[in-house]
Amino acid sequence: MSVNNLSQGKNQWTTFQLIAFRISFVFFIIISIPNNPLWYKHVFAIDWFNLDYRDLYDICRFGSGVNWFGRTTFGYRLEGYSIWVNTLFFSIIAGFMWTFVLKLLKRDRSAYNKLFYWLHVVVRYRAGLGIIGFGFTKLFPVQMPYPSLGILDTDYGDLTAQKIFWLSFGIVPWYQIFAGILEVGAGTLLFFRKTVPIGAALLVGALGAIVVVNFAYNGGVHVYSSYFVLLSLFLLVPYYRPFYQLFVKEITTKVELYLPKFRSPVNYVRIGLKAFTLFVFIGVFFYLQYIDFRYDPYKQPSSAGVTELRGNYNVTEFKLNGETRPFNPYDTIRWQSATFEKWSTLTFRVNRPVRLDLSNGGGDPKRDVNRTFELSGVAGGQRAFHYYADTDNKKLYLEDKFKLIPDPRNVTAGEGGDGGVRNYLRDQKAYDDTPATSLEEWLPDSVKHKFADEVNDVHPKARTTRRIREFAKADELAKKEVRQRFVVNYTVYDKGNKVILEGIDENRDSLYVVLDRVIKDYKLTPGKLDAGQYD
Amino acid sequence: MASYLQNPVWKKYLLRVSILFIGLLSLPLQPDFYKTLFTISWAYFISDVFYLTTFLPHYFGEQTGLLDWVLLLIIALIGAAVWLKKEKPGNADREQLYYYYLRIFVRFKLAAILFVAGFLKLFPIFVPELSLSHLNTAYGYLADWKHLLLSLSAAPAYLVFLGIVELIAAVLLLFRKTAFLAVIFVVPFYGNAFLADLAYQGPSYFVSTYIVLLTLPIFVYDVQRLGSLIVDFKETLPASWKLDWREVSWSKWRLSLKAVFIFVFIVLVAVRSYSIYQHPNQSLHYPNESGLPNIEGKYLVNTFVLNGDTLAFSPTDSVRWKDVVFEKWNTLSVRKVNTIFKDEPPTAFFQREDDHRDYEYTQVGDRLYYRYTTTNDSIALKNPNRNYHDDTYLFKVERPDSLRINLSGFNVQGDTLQIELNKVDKKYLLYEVKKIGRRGLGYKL
Repeated sequence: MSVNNLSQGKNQWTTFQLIAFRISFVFFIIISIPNNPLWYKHVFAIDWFNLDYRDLYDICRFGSGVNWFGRTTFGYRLEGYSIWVNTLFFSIIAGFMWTFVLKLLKRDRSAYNKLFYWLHVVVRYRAGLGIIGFGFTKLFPVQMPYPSLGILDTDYGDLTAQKIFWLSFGIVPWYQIFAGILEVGAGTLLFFRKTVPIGAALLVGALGAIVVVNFAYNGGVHVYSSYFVLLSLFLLVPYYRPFYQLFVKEITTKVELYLPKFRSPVNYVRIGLKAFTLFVFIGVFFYLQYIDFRYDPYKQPSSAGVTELRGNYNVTEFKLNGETRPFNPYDTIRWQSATFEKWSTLTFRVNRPVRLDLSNGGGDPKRDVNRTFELSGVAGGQRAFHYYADTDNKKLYLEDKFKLIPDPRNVTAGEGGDGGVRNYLRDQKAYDDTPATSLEEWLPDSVKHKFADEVNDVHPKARTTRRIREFAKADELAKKEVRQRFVVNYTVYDKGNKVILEGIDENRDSLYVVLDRVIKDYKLTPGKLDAGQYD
Repeated sequence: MASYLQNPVWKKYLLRVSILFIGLLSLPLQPDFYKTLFTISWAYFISDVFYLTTFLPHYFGEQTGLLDWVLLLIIALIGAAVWLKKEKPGNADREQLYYYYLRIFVRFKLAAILFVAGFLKLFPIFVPELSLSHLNTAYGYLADWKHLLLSLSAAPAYLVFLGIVELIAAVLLLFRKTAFLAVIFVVPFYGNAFLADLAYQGPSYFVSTYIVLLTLPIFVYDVQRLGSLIVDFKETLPASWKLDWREVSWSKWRLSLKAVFIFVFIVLVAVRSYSIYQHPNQSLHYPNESGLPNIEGKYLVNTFVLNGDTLAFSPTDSVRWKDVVFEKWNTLSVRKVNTIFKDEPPTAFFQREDDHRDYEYTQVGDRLYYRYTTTNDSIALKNPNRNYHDDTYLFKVERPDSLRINLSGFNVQGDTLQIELNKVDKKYLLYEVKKIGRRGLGYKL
C-alpha cells in the first residue's frame, strides 16, 4: 500500500515502546467504539431522507469502554471514570498477552509504524466527529438557551451552580458561537494529518477547561469532556519530544511519524470517504443545526404560546374556593407572581417547598412538556406548566412540566451522558402526591382531537422523522407519566394588561386569579440571535 | 550584502514599530500612575500592584481608549521610519540584539501581570464571595458583565484552576527556553478573555489586547520553526543566535534584578493575596467595615408605617419595602416592587477605600443599596449610588430578639417611618444542592 513515504517512523522501537503501543492500541480502539447496543439500534433506525440534527449528534456521541465488569472498579465509581480504569486494566492484560504470544510464536516485531498510523486515524476521526457533534449545538447557540421569563424572574441563589454556568453562556450567544467555532474547527483540523497537532492542542485547552468547569459547577459531563482531552493527548504523543528538543534543548530534530502515501485507486477511495464524512458531518450537520436553531431549539418548547398572554404578571387577586387570599409573602398557597413564556408555558411562584428537577434539562425530547430547561435546577417555589390552548373556547389545558422520574437523556451516550433515567430510578421513592385529576378527565377524547396535530406545531422544515416517531408514541408514554394537571378559562382585558384565569386547580379547588401585566426593568436584554420561531 | 538580504527592510521596520509601540504602551507618563506608585502600601498592595502592572496610557480620559492606541501606533509608525533613516548601517547582529531585548522586556512584563492575576485567582479573591443581596436579586436584574463575575464567584474552584494556568505560564516566561511554551498557553487564554470581555461588555478588553500584543514578539520568533516541525514534518534547526551576556555592560545586575522581580511579584503578591484570602472579613470588593453584630441575613418587612399610615403587603406598591438584606459588612439592601433603577457605571475593578468600592451595587437592579454608620443604637443609611445622593435614612434600631429588628426614624424628606423586619430562614439551592448532590430525586426546596 505504501510506497514513497512522506515521513518515516523509527525502525527500531524499544521494548517499552512496543509493549506500551500494544496496550495503547487495545485501549484506544476499545474506547473509540460504541459499547452500547442502543447506539447501533439508533443509527440503523435513522431516516436519512428526513434527518434531525439529533440523528447526527447521536452518531457522534456514544459511550465506550469495557463495561462488562459493571460501572465500578472494585466497588468505586471513581467519579464515573471507572470504565476507563477497567478498560485500562483489560488493555494491560491484553497488551502483555499479545507480547507473550508473539514471543511464543517467535514473531517478534521491531516497530509498529503502520499500525500506529492507523490507530491515529481511528482516534482522530473519533475525537473529530465527537467534538463536532458537541460543537454544533454551540455554533448555533442552542446548548445554552437564553433564560426564559420565569428564570429571569428567579433569584440568583435559587439556581444550581450548573444552571448558573449554563445560563451565563446563554445570555451571550455570540460567545457561545465562538466556543462552537472553536470546537467544530478543532474537530475539523483533526481530519487532516498536517493539522492534527493544532486541532489536538486546541482540544486539550478548550476541553480541559470544560472538564474543570464540570467539576467546579457540578455539570455532570466531566467524563465525556475528559474523553476528548485523553484522545487529544494521545494524538500529541509523537510531538512532545520533538517540541522539547527544538525549543528547550535547542537541538535539530524532526517528528518521527510514519505517514503512508497511497497508490491512486486507494487514494481516490480515501479522498471519497473523507469528502463524504466532511459533507455529512460539516455540511449537512450545519444545515440541520441551523434548522434546529431557527425553528425548534431543542431545549425550548417548539409550540408558540398564546400571543396575547405572553409576559410577566403580578398576581393582584387570588381566590381559592371563593375565599380571597390577599397578597402576603408568607402565604404558602397563593401564587406570588406568574409569567407566560413566548412558548407554551405558564410559570407561577408559590411560597412553599416544591419538588425540583435537578437534571441538566437537556437531552433529546421532542414533546414540549418534556423540554424542561426552564425548570431544571430552578428553585424559589417556581412551577412550570405546559399548556394546550383552545383559543376558540379560551381554555388552557395545563400539565406540570415536573415529573418525578425524568426521561432518559442521551441514551446512547452511556457513561458519557448525564446519567439519564437509570440513575434516577435507583433511588426512586414512592410518589406521595398522586394527581387528583386523571389524564382522561383532564383531556377527554372530545377535546383531545383538537390537539392531535401537535406534531405539526413546528415549522415544516423541523418536522423530522425523529419528531414524528416520538409523537406517534406520545399517548402511550403520557399514560405512564405522573403529572399534576388542571384546566382554566382565560379572559384577556385591556389589550392583555389584565388576564383572569378561572377554573379547577390540580387539587380540585376552584381557582380565580387576576394577573396584571408588569414591565420589568431588567438589565439583560436578548440580542438579535434569538433561537426559535414563535410568531 | 548577505546580512542585508537576511533582514529585509520591512522586517527591520516592523521590529522598530513593535519596539516603539509596545514601549509607548508600557511607558507610564501620567501622574496617577506615580501617585499610586509612591503611595503604595501593604494594606492596598494587591489593588495597587494590579493597577500598576495593568496600567495603560489614557491621554483622552479616565480609561485607556481606542484613541490612545491609534495615537501611539501612529507615533510608532512614524518614529520607526525616522529611526531607520537616521540609523547607521548595522549588521544582522544588531537586529537580533534589538529583538532579543524586546523579547526580554515582554517576557518579564507579561510574567509580572500573570503573577499578579494568577495569585489573585489561586487564592480566589479576584472576585468576592456572593453577597446575600446578589443571591436575592432576580437573574434578569444583573447585567451581562456582572453575570460573568458572579458565575466565577459561584464556583471558586474554577477560578483556582484559571489561576494555576496563569501561574504556570508566568513561571515558564521567566526562562527564555520555555517562553514559547508559555505563550502557547497565554495566547488562547487571553484571546478567550478578550472575546469574553467583548461578549459580556466588560471593561478590560484593552488589557487583554495588551497582553496578547505582548505575546506576539515571542510567538512570531518561534512560530515558523514550530510550523516546519509539526505541520511540514521537516527536520528543523533550533534558533541559533544567542546573546553573549559577557559583552553586555549591565549583565552583572541581572541576578539582582531577577531577585527583586521574584521578591515583588511572587513573594509579596503571594503573601498578600493569601493573607486577604484567609482573613474572613477582608475583601477587595466589599467594604471592610463590619456591620451590626449577628445581623447578617434576609428579612421580610412585616410592617411598614409611613407618616402614621400602615402600608399593607402589596404586589404593586412601589413605596413599601418588600425585603431587606443585611450583609456581614455595613451594607443593607432593600427590595421594592418593580422600581426603575438608575445604574452608575463601575469604576476601577479594585478600589482602595470602602467608599469607592462599588462592586455590590453597580450593574445590578432589583435592590437599593445603603451603607450605614452606627452611633449608639442608631444607624444612618446612605445610598452610595451617585444617582441617589439624597437617599438617606436615620433609624433607631431595636432588636427585641435574634429574629426581629425594628427600625424607626426618618428619611431625608423628614417622613417618619416605622419598619418591622422579620428574619427568614432562606435556603439557597446553590448551596443546598452541594449537600445533597444532583441525584436527589423528588428533592423539595
